Amino acid sequence: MRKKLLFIFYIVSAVFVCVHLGLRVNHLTQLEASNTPLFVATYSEHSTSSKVPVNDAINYKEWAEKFEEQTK
Amino acid sequence: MYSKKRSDFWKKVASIVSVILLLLAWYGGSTRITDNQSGMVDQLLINGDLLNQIDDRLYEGRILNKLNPVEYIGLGSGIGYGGMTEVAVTVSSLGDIQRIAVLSSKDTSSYLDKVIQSNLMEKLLGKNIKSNFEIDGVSGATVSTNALTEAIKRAADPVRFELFGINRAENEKPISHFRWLDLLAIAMFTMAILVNKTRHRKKSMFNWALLLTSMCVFGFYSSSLFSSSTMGILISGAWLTGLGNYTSIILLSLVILYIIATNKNVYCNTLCPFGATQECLAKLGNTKTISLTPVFFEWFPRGLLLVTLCLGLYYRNPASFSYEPFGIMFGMIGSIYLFVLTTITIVTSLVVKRPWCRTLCPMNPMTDFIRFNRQWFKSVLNKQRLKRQIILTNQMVGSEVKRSEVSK
Repeated sequence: MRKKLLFIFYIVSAVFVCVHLGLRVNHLTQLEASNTPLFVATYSEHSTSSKVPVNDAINYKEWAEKFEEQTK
Repeated sequence: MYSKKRSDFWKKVASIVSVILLLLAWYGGSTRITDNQSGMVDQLLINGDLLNQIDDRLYEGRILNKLNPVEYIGLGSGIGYGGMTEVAVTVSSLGDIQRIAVLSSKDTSSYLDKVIQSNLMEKLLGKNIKSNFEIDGVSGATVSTNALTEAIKRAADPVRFELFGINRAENEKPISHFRWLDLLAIAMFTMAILVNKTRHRKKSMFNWALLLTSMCVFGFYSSSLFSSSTMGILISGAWLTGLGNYTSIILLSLVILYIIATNKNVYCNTLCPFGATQECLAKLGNTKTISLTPVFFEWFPRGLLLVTLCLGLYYRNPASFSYEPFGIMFGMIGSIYLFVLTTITIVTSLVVKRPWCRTLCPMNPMTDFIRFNRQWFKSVLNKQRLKRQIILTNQMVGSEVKRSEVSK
């Protein structure tokens, strides 16, 4: 009975550990591919502070358009 | 005899292959790393359009066709649990902190998340870098908090000097990372050796005293027991550039050196805080020592540890791939999967003695690896010694024969 319990424990633990490691690999790969900071906090005058989603840290399209206009 | 020889052959192959895989992971990691920090810094401008690098740690943001910079970005790093934490701080031309970004961290992600969720960085936004800013620690993630605080302060230093000509970095004392816990780790390891050697009738009591002390100090108080991530940090060499907590590295190094010297592992039965927890739970329930015999159960944890170490080396972040239930047990920090794993380990410990130690604990594969290679090295040395002795004996016999022929 105890041997069976240890066997079940082994299998369940192995599954959880593998899922945990898989998710970690996925997370780190995505983070590297996005090439963005892990976390960004930005000051806003309207509130004491505000968190900015990493991908919205700067609007690149808007910046590029502005840059092109000014360098024409 | 034949099967033992065959098993030894495959163990030798596995040992060599695992070393090669670790080296390949290390090499792969070094080719993967590119200097993407400046790309990230670009995203941190708020009012500026153009980013100019002034020196290694300082950038200025300008508006097109205007002379004066509107903001500055300073870079700084602090020493965390698994290595450096890199931070960038955007400061306005008046010296107010506008944006703080964590560029990279080698700490376990759960610890970093805890610090971020405590709004530690938001509290600094809007503050002027000319004045001193003090940051409260986050309990349960002190090392990560210190790393982040240190990094933010260092990132503000070059901007402060550029804007106000104040060099506060010169007056700052470097943070000492050697703590009383490190000395205690050495002392307790010495005591563990003595307890294992003694034949005193109260040996079991001494062992329990050490186990419980270790559980309280290295477990619940400091959560500085070593794990697969510590093994990764040790072989990756991240400890050479600085760590926020050396206790686990010291313990691991002592354990490895003692196994190499004596072939004995005193850590698991006498010092391991998680082992102590399982022992305490075993006392509460009706437990028995059970082992799983099939070869698969022996080889799976070895493969698991090897994969974990390779991933840690490849991503240059061993702390991210820790898979033990220690973080949840002693700090309530970790993923939901590790939380479930910890819960089922605790429940199983009431019925089976030390279930984690008998299944997936990375300590067993590490001990097996060191012991096997030690034995292999010794047998190679013995063979060479034997060969030398045979050659010497042959030479002596030859000279004796020659001498007797001459005398005849």
